Amino acid sequence: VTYPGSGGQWPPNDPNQQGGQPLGGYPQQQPGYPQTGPQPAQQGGYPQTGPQPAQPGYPQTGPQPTQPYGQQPYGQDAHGQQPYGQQGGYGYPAAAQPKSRKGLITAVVAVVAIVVAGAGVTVWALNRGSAPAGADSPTAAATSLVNAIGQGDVAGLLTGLAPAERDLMSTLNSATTKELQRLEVYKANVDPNKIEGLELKTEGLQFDEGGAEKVNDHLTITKLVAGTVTLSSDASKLPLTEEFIDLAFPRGINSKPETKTIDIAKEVKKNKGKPIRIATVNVDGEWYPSLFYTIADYGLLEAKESWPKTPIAANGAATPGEAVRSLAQAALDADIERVIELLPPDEMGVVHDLGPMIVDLAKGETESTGVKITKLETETATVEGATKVLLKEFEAEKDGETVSVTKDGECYAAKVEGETNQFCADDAAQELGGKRMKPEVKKALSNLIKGMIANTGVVTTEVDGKWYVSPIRSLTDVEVTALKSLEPEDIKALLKLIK
Amino acid sequence: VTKGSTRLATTAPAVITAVGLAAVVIGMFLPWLRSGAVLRDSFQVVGVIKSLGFLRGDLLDLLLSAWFGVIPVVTITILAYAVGLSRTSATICVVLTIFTGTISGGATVERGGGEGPLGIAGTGPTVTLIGSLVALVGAVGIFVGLRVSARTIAGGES
Repeated sequence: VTYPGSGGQWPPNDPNQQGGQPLGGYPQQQPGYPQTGPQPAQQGGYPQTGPQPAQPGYPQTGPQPTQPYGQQPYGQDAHGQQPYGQQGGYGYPAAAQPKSRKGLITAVVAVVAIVVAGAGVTVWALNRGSAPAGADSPTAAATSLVNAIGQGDVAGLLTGLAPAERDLMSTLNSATTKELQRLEVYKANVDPNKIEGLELKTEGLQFDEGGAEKVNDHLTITKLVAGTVTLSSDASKLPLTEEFIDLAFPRGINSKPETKTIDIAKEVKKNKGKPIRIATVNVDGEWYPSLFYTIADYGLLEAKESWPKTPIAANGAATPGEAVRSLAQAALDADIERVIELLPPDEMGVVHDLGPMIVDLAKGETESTGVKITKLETETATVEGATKVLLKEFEAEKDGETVSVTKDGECYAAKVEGETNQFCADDAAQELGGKRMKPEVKKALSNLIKGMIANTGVVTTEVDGKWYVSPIRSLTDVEVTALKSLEPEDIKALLKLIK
Repeated sequence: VTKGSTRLATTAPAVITAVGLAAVVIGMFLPWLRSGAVLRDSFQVVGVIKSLGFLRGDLLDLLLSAWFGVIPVVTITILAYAVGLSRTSATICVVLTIFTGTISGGATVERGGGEGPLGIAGTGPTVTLIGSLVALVGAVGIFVGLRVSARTIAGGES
């Protein structure tokens, strides 16, 4: 960090003034003071040996009209606002030029150094702040996952997962935590990322690098062969409110901490030498551990099947509503391939990869219903990172018969063979509860059903400009919608009902 | 008022500001988040929050992006002072330190007692907060120093 010399200024036309104007706003000449000798504070420290137009060797006892007093803005700081231009008129000797250049160079170098240092530190900060990326190899990805677990690094664990899975989990986690806080189930100060009461630690984990199975260009199965995983749980650390604990666990929670250690080598030995498999996926040139692919891999292993060679390519729709309609029609037609095409290629990539096998398994097991959707009117709502499609009107026909369902606020009206039946939230609550049910419980159920009827929909996501139906987001949205429909007193009423 | 005291009035605040700003920048690279045994600095925390998408489209999302602008603004503050625009430099510094001080102050207050696997670490926010306060005092001192200089000019050297 380079600052100008104390009180000094690096004037654009005379760098040698550095330090020469200690108080910046100081006058070039002090009225009343004789200026007979060299005046360091004047004219950049150059002795005034030559003719001084404004001070011809006489004591300056009064205001000097040629002094730059008039141009000296009072209150200006020690730098910068000096009327330097005025000094040019004094006519410096030509010998001053080399010194000026040296000072100017120093000043420019200092400024460049400041800019370079600032830019360097900024780039460093940006690099540190860039989203935690995947790993260079499948083994490194799996290692980073288990290291994150081993160090209890929740943030590293979440950010280290495949991007689509990470988004899914963080969305669900934050939305659920927010609602549980509102419903006074969780304490108000709970961090959505904290897994209080549960701790995982790993030690000495080893992978069989040579045994890693490369399924295709974006999927590799790594194999964990040794190390220990320790799971500790302490229910007393769960972020539940006292009131919720009293209602849900009247006898209290068993708060005794429990610890269990799993020796991977022993487990592998027990499992006839079969290692723990962790699937890793390649996204944009980087490897990430994948929960979904790991589950699917174990499913295939159990079924003694292998991964299909080619996936079913994603083929989304132009709008969220169109995606839902296409998927519903494909499901009614038992067109499994089209159903898979309409699933998001990022978060449901595993289903696309397993697609050909799923289609083969479904052959002969499913058949078209013959139902044609003739009308599907929808409305959309934005949910966390996605778009929810809500039903307005649905019409379908089969063998000349038409069925229609219309949503009207908290009611659904179904028209079959010219006969209309209406189903409303209040009616449902009455039927569910009967006459014996307490009013507060009835109110809770009514709130729940009303909220579900009004806000349940199908969640769609946009990938590369096309819309896809997300089954996992749709399911988790049902859970969040249910929580959003309730009030804190409803939770208490429902807990009393359970008791 | 002597020449020396006037010089001190303009120089000392600049030094204090520089020290404060240095502490702000250093503090930003010290631990802000404790996740298990792993400590992350403020920029890594911003990266984690952004990648997890907690603040999608939120005003806080904008503030997090602005966090990366702190160092360029510190550079501009120093440059402005270096080229003689000390009043401008002090003004930028005041705005900057209010921003960094508010965020680091909030993080310092929210810092838990070290329980749980995830929490705010103390070092980074505390150093940044102290740096912000010091730089703020320095910036105010620069304004005061400018007034002293102005009075000296107006009244003549005594």
